[in-house]
Order: sequence, then structure tokens, then C-alpha cells
Amino acid sequence: MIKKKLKFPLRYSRKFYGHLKKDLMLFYNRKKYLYIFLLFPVLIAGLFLFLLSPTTAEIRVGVCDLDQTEQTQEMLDGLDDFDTVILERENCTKNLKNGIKRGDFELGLEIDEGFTEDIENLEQVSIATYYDNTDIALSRMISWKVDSSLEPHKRNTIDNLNYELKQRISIARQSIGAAEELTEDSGLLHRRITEVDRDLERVEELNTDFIINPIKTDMRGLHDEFDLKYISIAFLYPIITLFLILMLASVSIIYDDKTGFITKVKTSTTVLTYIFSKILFFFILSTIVFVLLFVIFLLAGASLGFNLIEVLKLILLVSITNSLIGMLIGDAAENEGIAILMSLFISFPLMLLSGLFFPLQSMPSVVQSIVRVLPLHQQIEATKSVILFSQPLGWTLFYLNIPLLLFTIYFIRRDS
Amino acid sequence: MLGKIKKFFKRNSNPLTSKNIRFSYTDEEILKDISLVTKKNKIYSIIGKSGSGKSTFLKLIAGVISKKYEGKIRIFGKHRSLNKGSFGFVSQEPGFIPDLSIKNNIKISGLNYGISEKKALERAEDLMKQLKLNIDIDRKPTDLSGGQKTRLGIVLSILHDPKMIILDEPFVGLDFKNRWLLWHFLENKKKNGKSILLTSHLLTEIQEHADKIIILKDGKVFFKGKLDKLKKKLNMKYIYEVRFSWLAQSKWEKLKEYCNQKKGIDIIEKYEKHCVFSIKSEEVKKELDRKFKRIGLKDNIINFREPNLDEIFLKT
Repeated sequence: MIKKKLKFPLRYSRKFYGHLKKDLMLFYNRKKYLYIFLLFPVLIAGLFLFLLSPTTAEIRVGVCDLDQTEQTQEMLDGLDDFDTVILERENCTKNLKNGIKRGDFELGLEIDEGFTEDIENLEQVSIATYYDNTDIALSRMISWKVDSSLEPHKRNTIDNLNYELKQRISIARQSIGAAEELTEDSGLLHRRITEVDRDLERVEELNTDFIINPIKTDMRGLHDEFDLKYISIAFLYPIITLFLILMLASVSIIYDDKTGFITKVKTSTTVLTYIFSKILFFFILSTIVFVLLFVIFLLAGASLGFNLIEVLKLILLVSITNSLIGMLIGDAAENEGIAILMSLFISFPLMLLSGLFFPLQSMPSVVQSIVRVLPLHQQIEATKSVILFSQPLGWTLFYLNIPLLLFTIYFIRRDS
Repeated sequence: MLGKIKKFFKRNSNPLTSKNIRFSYTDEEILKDISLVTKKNKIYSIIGKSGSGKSTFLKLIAGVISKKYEGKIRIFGKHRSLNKGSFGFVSQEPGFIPDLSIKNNIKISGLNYGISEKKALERAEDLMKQLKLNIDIDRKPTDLSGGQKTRLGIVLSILHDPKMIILDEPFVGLDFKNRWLLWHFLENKKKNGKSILLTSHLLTEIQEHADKIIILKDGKVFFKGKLDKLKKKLNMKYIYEVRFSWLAQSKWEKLKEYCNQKKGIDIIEKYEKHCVFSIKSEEVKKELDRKFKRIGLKDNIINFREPNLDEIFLKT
């Protein structure tokens, strides 16, 4: 009797195990899949950590110094992180532009004639900065880089100016002091001279920092304990798993369909068993990705503490979402090539809208509302809360998976 | 009285009971009111032109097609989804995973049917012996010949020892020896109490091995039964095969008109000067010969014999 009662669960668990074993064996047998799967997270995490580390490489700068004074020479010598090359005066601008186009320089600076004189006359001056605006990454960096390199020179100029100003005011105040003494008896005039002296005293006491930047923004991150490169694990894990699982899940559905395995599933087990076994398979793969990333970040010096149960729940929900989307792609695509293209078509926009590359806050409010329900955004938020803040997982990802599961069952059961 | 009550409640034990099946993928109906009941220890063969709905019908029974259909399908009295273990479906697709070894394919297929890996290997060994499939199971199935692949596909689909075996075009691409082997394997299964339902285009072989023939025409069952019954139904006793020395279009029109009017004669096939007639009796044949002379046709008789299933099928 007991044996009879156990027969059904035993048969069912064998069917489930059969599907899972098939996927694991196939994955192991097709070595290229296995190697790419293992190398992909290692490569991306390594690149990320490398690119976010400070670099000592200098930027090659061509300079047209048309002023050619001691001050401009001093300014150019003091440029940090720039390897400057002074060009001949003749056809200088043209040569500078051509040099950038040829790739001799990353950046060009042009200092106009009269630059030093204008500064001495307290007139605003400008330095023309030439760069290749088709190089988007360099374009975004260049303004900040030039400003920060010129910062010591700007400070020096204002310091000198401030010093000169103080000296002149000091002389002026001495004269005012004498005038004060002379007008001691004439009440109104004496009061006015005293007020002017007080104003001049305040100008004399002006601080260079105040003149350069009267209101300084003091950025204070609430989570200063996290280094920027370690925070990136919360973005990298969902993005890497999304790419990998979408492609692998969609391709595996095409493969199962081509080899007649889905026909076998329909005539021997149930589509639900098949889907659940796939989810378990991709849960195993997602766990491997997580472990790989975690080890790499630990080796790079990150201190990450979390609740293991919450992390397993997170991996499960992430793998359910991604494998279900992948299976839907696999059902819609006719072959492996189209499945991979469709996976890229879905993952790229999701990645661009994830908040890693562009801040959500800069998007229109309608787009923001859409982005907030997108799976990758939800996965990133969940990963942040579990891995960085050791907080329990919310229910949003769980609710997101319910319609996805129903769609997948419907479409895989449906006849092509 | 008790016997009647028992009989009333007794579950229908027929391998397949399908009633009034109607099915369509789009607006055009593929299956129109198909009813079929199969019995144990029998081989049923479904024949029909390409697109007549043979494969669709089998896939519907096996549950490969899950789209909604009208009518009722019962396998051993139960809904097909509740009785998947009682039948094995051999599809036209390869039915194995090309990147895994044959041994692993056997294990996975066994697990799919809920049987242990060890038992699956034992049963596969036995089935391979019956099908004379002497292969190294550590090799990949892609290394096998066409005939071996087909036989392996059958082995993998019936590892769970089903009571009913459904085969969709199992003889496609097989040479005579492999076909002969497979027919005998199926006949053996039939003797062991299995019910076999298959589709095929090899009408002469079906005539020899199948117990019952089901002809599907335009999505309907045109005929169901034994070959003799079909011959009677079609009023077709002899085949008269003739090659004319010359057949002008005007003479051919006259001959056609005569055959249409005369009872017991039908033109089954015509290719240039070669004509095949179905003849009811020897008397009718003599009348036809006289007609040839009257029209002025010089004939060269190739054959006058009993029809085979191909010719009967052509007449349908």
C-alpha cells in the first residue's frame, strides 16, 4: 500500500530529475558553452574593477601658446596628468586640429596672444580646448579633466590677486586712518569714513577659497563604507545573469524543440515539470555566477556581508524571471540565431534603463514609472538591498514572476 | 442484474476511443468528425493522401497538439493527459538528443517515463535485441545510419512498455530489410497484447501486415476495416493495365465518356499512353476490349490481375 502511494511522487520526481539531468549533461558536454559561461562573469567583473581603479596614464596634449610668456609657460608646466607638447607658432591651430584627427594628441589647448596681459588687467580670459567629439567617453571626461588640471593655476592667480588687493587696501586704510583722525570732530563725515574703513577691512580679510568658490557643495554619501567599485556588484550580478540566462534559456528551448524533446515532454510528462526543471537548472547556473562574482570582489578587497537565505531567495527569483523570459524568447524564435538576437534586443534596453549608465531621475516621469517595473531594475534594487544593506527581499520580484510563469506555460503548451 | 450494473460502470478498456473529433489550426478544418475505436492485439494503419490529417490525428491522440479540439479522446478509458504511461508515441522527428551518448539518451528517456535508469538500460537492451540493433551505446546517436536511428527512436519511445504504441510514419527512409524487421517487431508486440496504431504510405506492406485499415479522406474516415471489405465497397475486383500504341486526344475523350457511363469500369490512372482501369468482372473487361476496337485503339495488355492496396487507394 505504502509502495503504491509512493509510486506517483517517485515517478514524478524521476521525470523532474530526468529533465534536470539532461540539461546539466548537455551543458557539461558542450564545452564551449561551459567555458564561455564561466569566463563571462570573470571577464566582466575583472574589467569593471580595473576600469574603476585610478589610472596613472597621462593624456597627450598639443598646445598652441600664442602668448608665450613666463606665466603661460608656468601654467602649462603645472598641468597635472597632461603630457604637453608645445607646437610651432606658424599654422599652429591647423596643425593642432590635424594632430588630434591623426591621433597624435587626445586634446589641444590654444592660448591667445595677450592672455597674460588680460589677466593682469583683471579681464576674463579663455583657453580654447579642442577634442574629438565623436569620442563620447573622452568628451564626457574632458571638461572636468581640463578644469581640474587648471585648478592650481586658477588658485595661484586668485591668490596673487588677493594678495595685491590686500596690499592696496592696506595702503588705502592707512590714508583713511589719517582722515579719521582729522575728522574726529565733524560727526557725520567721521561716521562715514569709519564705515568705509570697516568695509575695506572686510575686503582685506577676504579668503581666497571664498573668492574661488563662495558656496561649496560638500557631498556626503550615506553609505561611505562602500567603495564605488564594490557597489557595482549589485549592478553586475543582475546584468550578467540577465544576458547569460536569456541567451541560454532561449537557445535551450529551440534545441529541445528541434530534437523533439518537447514532443517527448508532451507525451510523457507535463509542461509544468519541464518548466520547473529548467528553472532549477538556471537557478544552479545563477548561483555559480553569484559565487564567481562574490569571490572576485572578495579578492579585490570588498567587504560584503549578507544573509545567506535572503541571497538564495534573491538568486531564485532572479533566475525564475530570467529563465521565464528566456523560454518565452525561445518559443517565439525560429532558430538559435534569432533567439540570441531577440535576447540582445531585450537585454540591451533593459541594461540602458537599469540606472547604471544613465540616472533614472534624468528621464521623463512616464519613462521613470515604466523603468521601475522592468525586471532588471527590480533585480538591481533587490540585489542592492540584500547584498549591500543585508535587508530582507521584497515581494515585487515574486509578483512579477506570476504572469511570466502563466505566459510561459501557455506559450510552450501551445502548438507551433 | 448485478452483471448489468457492473457492465455499466466498467471502465472502457479499449486502447483508443475517439468520438466525433473535429480540429483545425486555422479556419480550415483538418479533421472533420473522426470517430475511431481500437482493440488490443491489433495493428491499425491509417492511410491517406498528404495533408489528409493522419499525423494531426495521431499527434492529437498523443497530446503533442494541445490546441482545443471538439469531440472526445480516451486512452484505456481515461483522458489522455491522465494516462500518458499507457502509450508510447514515436514521432517523425529523431526523438533523441544528438549531443548525448546513446546510453545517456536511454537513461533520460527512461526517467522521462518515470522509470529508473537501471531499468531503462535493461529494457533498452532487450528492445535493441528484438530490433537487431547491435550498436555501441557509448557512441552518439548521430553516428548511426538512418535505419538504426529510426529503430533507436522506437526503443526510446517505448522504454516504459506501453500498452499502445502510436507510430507516425515509422518506415520513412528505411530500406526493405529494416522495414521487414520493424513490421515483424510490431507483429510481435501485437502478439504480446499491444495495440499498434500507425500511419504510412507503404500500402502494399500495410495490406500484408495491418489488421485494419483506416482511410482518411478530406479529414474524414472514408473507410475502416479489412481490405476485402474495401474492395467490395469500391466495386473493384480486377485491375486492367493497358499501354496503347497511339492515343489521340479525341479518342481518349471518347474512352473517358464510355467509362463514365458504363458501370463497373473506372479509370484509376493515366500517364501518356499508359492507362489503368478498375474492372468489376471479366465480362466488363471483354466489353472494354470491344470498345477499344470500335474506337480504333491498338492495345497492348500489360496486366490483368487483382488490385493491390496502392491501386485501391488510388481509386478512393
